[in-house]
Amino acid sequence: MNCTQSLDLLQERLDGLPLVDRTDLDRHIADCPECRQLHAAAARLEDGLRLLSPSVPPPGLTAKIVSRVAADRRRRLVLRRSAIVMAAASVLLAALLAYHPYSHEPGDSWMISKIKETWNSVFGLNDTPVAFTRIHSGPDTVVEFQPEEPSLTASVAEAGSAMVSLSKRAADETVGQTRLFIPEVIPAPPLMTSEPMQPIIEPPTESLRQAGNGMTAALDPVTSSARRAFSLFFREASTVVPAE
Amino acid sequence: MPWVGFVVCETFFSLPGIFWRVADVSADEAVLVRRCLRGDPAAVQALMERFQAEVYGLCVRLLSHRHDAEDVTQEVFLRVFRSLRRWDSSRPLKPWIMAIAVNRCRTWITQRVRRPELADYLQETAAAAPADDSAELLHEIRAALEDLRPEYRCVFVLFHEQGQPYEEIAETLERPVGTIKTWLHRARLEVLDRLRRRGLVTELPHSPEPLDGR
Repeated sequence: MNCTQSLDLLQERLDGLPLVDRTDLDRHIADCPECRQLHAAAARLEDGLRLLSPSVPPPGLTAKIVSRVAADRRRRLVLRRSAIVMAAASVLLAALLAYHPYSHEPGDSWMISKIKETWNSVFGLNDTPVAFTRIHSGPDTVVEFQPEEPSLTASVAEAGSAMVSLSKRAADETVGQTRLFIPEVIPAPPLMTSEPMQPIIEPPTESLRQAGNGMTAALDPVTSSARRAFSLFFREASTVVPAE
Repeated sequence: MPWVGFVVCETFFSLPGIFWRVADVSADEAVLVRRCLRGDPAAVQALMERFQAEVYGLCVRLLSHRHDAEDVTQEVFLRVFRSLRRWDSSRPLKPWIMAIAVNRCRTWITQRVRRPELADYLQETAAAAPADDSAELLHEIRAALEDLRPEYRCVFVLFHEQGQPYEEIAETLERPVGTIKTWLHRARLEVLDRLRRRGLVTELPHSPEPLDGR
């Protein structure tokens, strides 16, 4: 027997299989200290494994896990039911939106009319209501949706009004936000009280007199200069003696 | 020759009996699982009590931490009851549950940063060991198990502590039987080497001691 065979027997021994013939093994381990040590260690391992006590779960663990499992089951059940209800509602709503507005007369029922209103409001067709044209006659009337195409003028007008309303809204928002920063409302200053002016109706003479005064005032420098010139002339003339 | 008739009777009557017992176990497990799926609390508790000790024992050995083992045991059974519909009723239930436990322990080991709790082992050995070096022997065996690679440790615990055969371990770990044997043999040699290095093998017997079985 060699070391490999001895090792195989050691594994079989630890597997719990009985050794049929130990003669060869005894002879080998008597001469091989390595294998002898290994088999001695295997005997110690078997002793230790017999002492190895299994780990016992704590007493309250079962109840704790059972309650957690029950709570988890309830939670998953609620989630599953909610998902089913939401899916069913989504399918129903999609079916109503996709089918009913085209297949009945407008105003047949309250629900249909509401759906059409919603349709018009979503797609911005308030000003141009949805036109439903009867394309088949008979008891099962099929109505087709044919929206009118807006003209270029109407489109431009609508864009202009939209810009105006947008600007107005932006301005309103700016004013509103600015007011938020003002701690208190400042009262507007009172208007100055003044008596109303009386209408002045002047006679024509007054106007002429004022015109004369104006002319006098305008000619006053000229006349004063002329007066001073004449007085100066006469004063000089009086002092001249005529030659005899 | 009456022994021939005995052998024939044993062959043709006991073997079908074995299959019937296996079929009974599988049918019993299937009934238990169906009751659990219907939300029967008694069935949930019965399934827990049937497998809880083995799951918890494996978690303690693989994680080396009792509180972690409790947490992982809870997670294992939550996953078991969530995925019970996917259980193949043609296969035994125990390897399926133990596979979930092994996977959860593996995930937990990669995620945790705590050091293993060794105090539990010392208390357990002190209570169970006699006045010789058995306490030290037990401690060294447990320490050697902690030093093993996780797959080696798992195979060692499943075989030597829980007494599972190679085939069941192979089914639990989803590996061939040859791989399981190789892992177990290497694990044993590593444990034996540690016992020798620690001086717990003093006597050099000239012949191996007889075995009482595992």
